[in-house]
Amino acid sequence: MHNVLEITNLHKKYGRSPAVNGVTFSVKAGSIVGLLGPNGSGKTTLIKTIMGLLPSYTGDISITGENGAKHKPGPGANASISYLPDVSHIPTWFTPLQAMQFFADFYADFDRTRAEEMLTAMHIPLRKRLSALSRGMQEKVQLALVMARRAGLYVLDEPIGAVDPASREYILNTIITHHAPESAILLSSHIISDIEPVLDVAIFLQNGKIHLMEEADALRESRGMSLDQLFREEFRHA
Amino acid sequence: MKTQFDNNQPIYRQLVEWLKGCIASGEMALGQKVPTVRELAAACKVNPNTMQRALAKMEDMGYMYNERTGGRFVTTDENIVAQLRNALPASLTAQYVRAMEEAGIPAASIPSYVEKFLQEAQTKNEGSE
Amino acid sequence: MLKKQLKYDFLFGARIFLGMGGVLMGIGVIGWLLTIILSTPNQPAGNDAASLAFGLAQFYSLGITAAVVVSVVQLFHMYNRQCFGDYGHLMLTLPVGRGTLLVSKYIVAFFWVVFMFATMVLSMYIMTNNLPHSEFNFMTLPDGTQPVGLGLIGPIALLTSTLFAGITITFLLSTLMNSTIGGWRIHKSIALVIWAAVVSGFIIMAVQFNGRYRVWATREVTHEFTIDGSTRIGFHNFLDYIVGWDVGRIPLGNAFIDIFYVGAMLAFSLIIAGITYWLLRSKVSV
Repeated sequence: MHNVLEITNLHKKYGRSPAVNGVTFSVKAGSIVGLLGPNGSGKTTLIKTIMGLLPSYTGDISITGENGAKHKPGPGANASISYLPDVSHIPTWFTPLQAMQFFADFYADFDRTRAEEMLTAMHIPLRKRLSALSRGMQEKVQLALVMARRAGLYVLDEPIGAVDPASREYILNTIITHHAPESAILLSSHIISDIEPVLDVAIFLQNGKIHLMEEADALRESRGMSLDQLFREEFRHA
Repeated sequence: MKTQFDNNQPIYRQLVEWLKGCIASGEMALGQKVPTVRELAAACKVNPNTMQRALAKMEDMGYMYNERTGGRFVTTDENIVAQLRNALPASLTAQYVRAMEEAGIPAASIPSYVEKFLQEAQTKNEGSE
Repeated sequence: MLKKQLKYDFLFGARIFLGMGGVLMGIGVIGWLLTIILSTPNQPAGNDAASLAFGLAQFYSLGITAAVVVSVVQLFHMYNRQCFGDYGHLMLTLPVGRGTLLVSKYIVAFFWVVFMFATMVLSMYIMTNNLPHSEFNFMTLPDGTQPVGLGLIGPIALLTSTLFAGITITFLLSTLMNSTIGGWRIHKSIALVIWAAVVSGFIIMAVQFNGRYRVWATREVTHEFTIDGSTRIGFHNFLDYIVGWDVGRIPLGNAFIDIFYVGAMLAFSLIIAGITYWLLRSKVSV
């Protein structure tokens, strides 16, 4: 399987302080990679740089699209990446119906039927403005739209961050069931215990650097503990 | 269906044990079609690749086989399943003992816990009759 | 992709500007109805109506100023909110080039600004509709002369090029405020200073063509009505009451000045747009 994302020696500074301080890794097609670390470790900065939201970085970022074409962060790459940011990014005056139309208009890989299925299964009223829905429901709408795209790479920033445990389970379930064998998922989380069974590969990030990158089960085997426990022990001094 | 695996152990191995248990207990019957990787992964809330790896191992060990026309099936060989069934108590006990030891409970006291549990279960059953 | 971007930018703008336009039209219609209600059967409009119109004009001048200010603020807000901040996470990660994004925003902003302006003029016209006027002659100035130069195209070109320049300046400010140069976020105050310098340059340039710049306000009609029964004034003078400009006698230039002004405005706009594009493409961070 080829790499859908390749990052080489990425540095990104805010003013004088480095947020991403020399990061190198790849994401293989078909794998679910977890970017794990405490808040402030550089996860969101890294993700936003991949999405082309932050300019002025040094290093290489390469995203491989469907037909094998390689892109730098930007509109070309974004056509192949389905992105779920850690904020409410869909205008709240949209109804779920209008939001689906928006995605369908801009993204050729948007599967409208699947999106409707997901929204209906979650009992989301399709014609109500997002602003009239609860925060939890809004996040579910966002997740449904993002996962309904048949993208080569999904980038999810803190997908289970601010939700209740029941929603957490639902989100993880959605990630598992809508994961196509050829596509890759890169997700970030500061909550490790809930998310670790879902990961192929774990990347531990702290202070903008990668401390550890390994297959999840291999880590469990070699260290004899969960990823959550491992992280607490190794990186206690944040 | 099991809802929680132990994050402290490699999940792939736990999945193999769980699948064996499903076959031994008859939850997955002889010759029955095995649900898809994705369905199983979602049910167990684990990574689909890990589940795939476990299923491949089950095929390797002869407990499952793959039809060329698509679909994975539980073996139709009764002997293999019988073997599993016999080995099930031993493996379940091993799991239990390991878990107790990890919790710091001395091995010598384990039999008394088991007896106590069985007695209480018995009493409850008799009481409800 | 431009078409799709245009569709949504247009809809986003409609949310903001249709309402405001409606309010302006409403004010015009109410004013007009009042002049009807207060007219006596024998005269088309009595002194009551006229003085009411006069009073309305005073309030309306506030209204127009407010409408202009609000439009500019809404324009800024529309662009700022959509491209940057939370919604920027969606809008700036679409498979749409930054240039296409900017062009779409300019086109849509221009459309809605013209819409607001047309609504303002229309509502004024409706409001004064019931007041006595001489025959409508669009192109005659109060002294009876016909303006030379580009005719009607002149004032339209002047106006639209000025509006467009204004739009590019508005977007520049917003883009500046969301840019980082050399890793450092441009502080709001610095952005405002840079922007103020640009606006000053813009105003100086506009003032240089003062004579022509105000022609659009005076060229339009000899649509007269009576204020106090004695003085007959033209529509352009009515506009004076509205916006408080002292018109006086305007020297008429020729087409060359029109063209030069429009050209200068467009060049200015292109430069600002170019800077904005450069910032949006490589300096903006969300």
